[in-house]
Amino acid sequence: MSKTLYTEENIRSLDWREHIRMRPGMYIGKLGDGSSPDDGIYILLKEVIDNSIDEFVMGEGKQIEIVLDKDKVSIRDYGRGIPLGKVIEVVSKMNTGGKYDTKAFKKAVGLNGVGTKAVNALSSSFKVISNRENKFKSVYFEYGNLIDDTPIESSEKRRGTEVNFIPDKKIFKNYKFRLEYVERMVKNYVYLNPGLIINLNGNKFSSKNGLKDLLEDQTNSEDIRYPIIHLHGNDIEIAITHSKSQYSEQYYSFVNGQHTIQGGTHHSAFREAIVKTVRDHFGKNYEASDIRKSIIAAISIKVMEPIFESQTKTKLGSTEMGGKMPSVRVYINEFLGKELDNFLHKNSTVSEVLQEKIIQAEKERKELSGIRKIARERAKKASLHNKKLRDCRVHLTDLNKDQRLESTIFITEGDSASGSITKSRNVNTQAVFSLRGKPLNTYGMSKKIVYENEEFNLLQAALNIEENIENLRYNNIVIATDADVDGMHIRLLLITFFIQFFPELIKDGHLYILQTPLFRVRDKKETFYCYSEKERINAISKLGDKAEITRFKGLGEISPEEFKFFIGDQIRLEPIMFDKDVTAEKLLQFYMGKNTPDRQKFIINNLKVELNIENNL
Amino acid sequence: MDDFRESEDFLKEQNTSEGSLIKVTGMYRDWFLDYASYVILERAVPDISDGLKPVQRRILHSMKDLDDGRYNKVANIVGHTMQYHPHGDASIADAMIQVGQKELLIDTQGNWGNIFTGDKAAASRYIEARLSKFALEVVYNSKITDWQMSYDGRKKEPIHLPVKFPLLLAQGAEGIAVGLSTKILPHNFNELINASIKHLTGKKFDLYPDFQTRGIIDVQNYNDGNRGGKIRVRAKIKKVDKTTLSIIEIPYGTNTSSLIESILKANDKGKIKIKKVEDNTSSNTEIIIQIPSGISPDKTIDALYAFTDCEISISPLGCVISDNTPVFVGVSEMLKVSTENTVSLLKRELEVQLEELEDQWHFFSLEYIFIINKIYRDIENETTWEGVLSRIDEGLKNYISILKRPVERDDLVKLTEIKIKRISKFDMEKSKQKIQKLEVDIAEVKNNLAHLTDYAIRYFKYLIKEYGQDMGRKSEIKVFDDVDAKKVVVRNQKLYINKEEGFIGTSLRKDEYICDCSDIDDIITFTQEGYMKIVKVDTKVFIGKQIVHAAVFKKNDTRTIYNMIYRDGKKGTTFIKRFPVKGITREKEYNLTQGNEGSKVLYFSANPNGEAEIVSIILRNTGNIKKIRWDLDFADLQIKGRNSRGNTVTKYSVLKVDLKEKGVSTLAPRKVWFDHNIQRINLDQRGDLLGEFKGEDKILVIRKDGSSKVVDPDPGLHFSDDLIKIEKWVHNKPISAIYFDPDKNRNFIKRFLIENPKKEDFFINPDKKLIFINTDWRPIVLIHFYKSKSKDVSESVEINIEDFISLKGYKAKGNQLTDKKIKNVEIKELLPYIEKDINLIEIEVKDEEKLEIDDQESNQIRMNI
Repeated sequence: MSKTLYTEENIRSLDWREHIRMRPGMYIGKLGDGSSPDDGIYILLKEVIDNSIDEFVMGEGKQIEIVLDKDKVSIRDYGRGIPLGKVIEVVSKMNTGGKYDTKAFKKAVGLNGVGTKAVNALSSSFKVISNRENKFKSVYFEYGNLIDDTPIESSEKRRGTEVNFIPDKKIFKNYKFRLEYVERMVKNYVYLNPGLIINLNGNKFSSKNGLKDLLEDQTNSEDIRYPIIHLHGNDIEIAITHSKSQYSEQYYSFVNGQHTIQGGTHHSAFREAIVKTVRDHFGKNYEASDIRKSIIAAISIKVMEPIFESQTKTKLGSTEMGGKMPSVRVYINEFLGKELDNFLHKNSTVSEVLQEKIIQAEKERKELSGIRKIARERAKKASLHNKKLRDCRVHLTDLNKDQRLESTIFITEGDSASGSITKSRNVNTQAVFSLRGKPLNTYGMSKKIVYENEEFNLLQAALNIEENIENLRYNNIVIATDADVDGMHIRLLLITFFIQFFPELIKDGHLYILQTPLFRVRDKKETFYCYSEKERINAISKLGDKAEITRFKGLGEISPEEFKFFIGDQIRLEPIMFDKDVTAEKLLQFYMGKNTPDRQKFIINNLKVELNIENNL
Repeated sequence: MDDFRESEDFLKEQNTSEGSLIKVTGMYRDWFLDYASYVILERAVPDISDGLKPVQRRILHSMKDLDDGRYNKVANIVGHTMQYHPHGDASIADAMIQVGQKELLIDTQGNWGNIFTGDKAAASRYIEARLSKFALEVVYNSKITDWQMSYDGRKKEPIHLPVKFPLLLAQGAEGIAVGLSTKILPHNFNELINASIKHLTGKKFDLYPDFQTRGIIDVQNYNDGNRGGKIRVRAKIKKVDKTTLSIIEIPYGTNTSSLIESILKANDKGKIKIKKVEDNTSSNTEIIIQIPSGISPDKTIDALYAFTDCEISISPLGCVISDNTPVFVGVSEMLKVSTENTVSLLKRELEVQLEELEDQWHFFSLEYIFIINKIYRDIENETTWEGVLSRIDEGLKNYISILKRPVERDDLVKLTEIKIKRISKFDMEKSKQKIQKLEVDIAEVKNNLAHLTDYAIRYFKYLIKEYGQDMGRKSEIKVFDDVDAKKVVVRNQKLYINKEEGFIGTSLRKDEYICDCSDIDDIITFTQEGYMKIVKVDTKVFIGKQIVHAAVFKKNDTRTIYNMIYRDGKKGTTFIKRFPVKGITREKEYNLTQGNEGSKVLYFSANPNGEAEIVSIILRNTGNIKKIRWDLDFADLQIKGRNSRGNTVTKYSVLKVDLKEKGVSTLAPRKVWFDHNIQRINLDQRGDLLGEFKGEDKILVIRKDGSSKVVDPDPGLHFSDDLIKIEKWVHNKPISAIYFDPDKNRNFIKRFLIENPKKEDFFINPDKKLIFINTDWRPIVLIHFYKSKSKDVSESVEINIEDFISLKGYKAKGNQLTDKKIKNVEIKELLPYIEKDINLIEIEVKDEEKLEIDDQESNQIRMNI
């Protein structure tokens, strides 16, 4: 490929642009509306930030400024700036970039030179300004079309690159940036890049302790068994603790600052290494699952020219560290075998607590074994046919399928909705699990109930999360209840179940509530579905007095044809997210536990009175 | 509760600014409050103003919608109700049947179920309903009802029904919401209205529950229906004969099926012993219980109360919605609110009525003027409508000064609409009368408004007169005597003891049998080392080696006295003591010696009625002691506390102590009382003192039907309601009786003694009518007769019974007295009687002092288990 064949003017070739806009999934995963952390708009943001991070990693530009103003994004770094003569190419020409050459960028992520172009093509407005050597260059695109190409001028500004863009509303329907997700993203950047300061809408984020800060942020100090163990190496950083309440294993793995949600070689090497190290340390052949049960850990490694198994870089495929280093597996095993063992020798209290935890896990496992046997027989039956489940074709575990991130399971209440959802669903990606009546209040119950209660057991089987959530079959678990008070109650009961036994599903952002419209306002020509009182009033003011207003109290009132609309492109999902300040135990005890005078007082003081004042005669 | 920190951050409302996500804590808060608020406000808790839950209000409103005087199918009413209440039909039908079963608001047709047996109602497509006359009169008045739109905006429904009656308290209500619940018990119709009247007249009132299922209730702790209150409800159990009991009224909240189930369960557990239970319920409740012979029916009644649902306790909790908030209030407050609400509803009704009357008066007066003064003629020449109206207005002007308000355009229009027929046939007199009648009515309504309270009282009195006829109290209010479960439980287990090893228990079948017991009993034990301990019955309990005595422990038993001789230390002095055991803690060891090591109990006896025996003390023969054997009488020893050291027997070594002679009780006669409230005798100073009873003393009972019996003063006995005489029986004291013999149409008098105390018998034949009974030694009575037809003054005659008739046989007919109709018999004088055997009584006085102390103690010290 010869760069000199193109001039700055003739980069108008539209092939790349059309291609990206036609197949955005190939470049940014899924589209979505911003309610999920892996929705497209965040990938756009990430692609741009990644470039700034790569500058930081190379020691250039300690601060990055991000401004989110509703749909408008602005990212400014103080790195070296894009070479002014190549600004247009870098943002609009496929496979163009400086990272093909390991001289300019070592151990970087943004390799394929696609990212920024995808952002450009998927934005209704895209502007890049590069400051370098007291000069600057600014270019402006719309939908990937070059609109304005300002010539290079002199500048007083500090060097660096500024990117402004607005994601295209035609592609990302109804999108809205959720500050929480962006914050989480920003936090991950600073955890992995000590010394980096990111200024998000005026709030400065930085991290002294890297992955330790990450784990602290992800756990509640009352819920961990021992203080977080934090280990450093040349190209490796590890943080480990065990949870008191969580049953399963939870890992955060990173490669070159890239969050590998799907794990990969480093992740499996870590799981293996921790077991080996702990066994050696205690000189006992503990069961691997007992050691790893309830673990919460983060691992970050730096690899030369990493290879990923998927386009979205969420699973590491490299087996070698690169250079003259050993393989990833050996490297991690050696590191943990030495450093973690040393740590446990030096900190005998942590070592004792850890051993206690393992023994307790062993005991619990043996207690459950009887019931598990029965459950396994049931699971066998369920694997033949899960009678509560109407499955879809693509699952989260199908790594080679584009639509895997769209895989969704709807948990519906009774007969009112499962019929409509079944009829209107996209059978490729949308599965339906129907509950009968109100589920059990699991607060205060042991995990035994997941095996004893048939419905829960079948749900566990449908999700495939008995051991851990690594092989979760659906990216989105969507609770679809009526919007009436009993529906609220069922939501409480179901989320209590997930918090109690599978909190990591919530932590990893898999659990959602399906928002369905509360009203339909229509006349002979137009129909509006309104999700709030405000929308209803707007719709009525548009249609006037003759509008027919239907209140949807139950999902059963919505016909399948209408439902198609509510679970299609414009599906509205409300994610379930933990509140770091409150332990789940405290939350559940208050709301789902026994009646207390406090709760009674709370209810009475905060009673919601629904008065139909406007309806009063 | 005040230290509740709502400042707990997670309970605060989360701010939901744009672009920010609601966290799970915020979701929980929202959803929980949505659900809790809804269940509290819209489902489970009744409103204080009309006493109804939303579903009930909507049912009643629908019934009014559909009301045409005929019965409607319940299924239809339920369907209609769904226009207002968007919920399942089954729950609406259930709610409706519950209202129907209260028999107040709904006039029912078909099988509406049976609250006595728990039978379900027939399907709602079979049964029918219409509003009762009472409901139509008291619950509705559309003119003073505030309305709101139904959930879908298609219909209007009442916010509250204008209920002019304490409906909530009459029907009661129960509901479990989220975070709170409510339980308001039903009350008596007439008592409620009377309480309302009392409240209006500024008097105090008390309210107690009353149940359709009747039963007997103890309301001492009702606490005005507030949280923390409690009432006890008992079935009414009749003793039919020695082996048959009949439950004729059941406690609230039970039905015959559930009650029988609880009886069978208690029988299975061995708490009671019965042979058979049958449900003979028809229009009245009747459960027949057959008990095996040899089991006391009285005790079984107590056991039924103790171990089955024949007695249940109910904790009321008055939670109601007031102004869209749940509040906790007592029943008095509910009644006050209802009463005042009724008054204001009555006021509004009167105001509406007044307005209507005044409108009528205004128009009739106007019409009168219009026709009498022939104003209609004025309009003949007018061509325009406006002209017509102004003509009439003009014409009226001279006459309208008598009107109470100005003439308006509407009035004029209305005048133009009068038919010619009416003008031509106008009857001045009749019209005048009508106006006058209206004036009277207006005056009356105004008067009522001016004296609203009196009007309300009249209204309430009217309700009692009109609807209160058959609304008498159903549940009898009584103070219950507590049944001590341990006293009435069937002892169906056998207790064994291994004295050597120191075990007692029900599983030690190979060892020595002590007594029968039940699993709720406590066992008192004594060991040779001088330790005492009370333990629960179990299969096997270790007490301590060398048990000397073990028995079922009776709480507050002051008659059982333990006689003990022990050695202090290994070689110490020997002591003797007598003591009762009253208040002690279970599972705790008490030392009865002085606690020195090597102490040993040499002699021990337990005496259920304080008997004192004579024992022989035999010393070890060491050579230098003169007297090595002598007798000791425990009767010479005072009864003291169990901690007392006791009296010295000897400082020499005792070889052994032998029982020489059994003794008699040294305890004073015990006082026995009869409590009319519960028709039981007791030892706790409740009711009338019957006297002091020694071992063989008995009680004389005479019943209305002319039967008599003599029984032991056993507190477990039940006496039927028709007893007319209960007293300590003196075997030689004569009984005087006057009775009427319908065959001979004559009155007789007889004087007799109880000849066979073992037999319950009739001293007059059951067909005779007992008029008077007296058990004094020498009464003089005055007999009054009814006025005879021939004489104006009523007669009376004085009789000294002792002179009139000598002592005759129990079954003797006696002497003829008169054929005149006796009105009543009055005791005029009791002549003195000197007992001959006075010495006998004095003998016992000696011990009395000591025992009074004993009794006082027993009342103060209770076992704190």
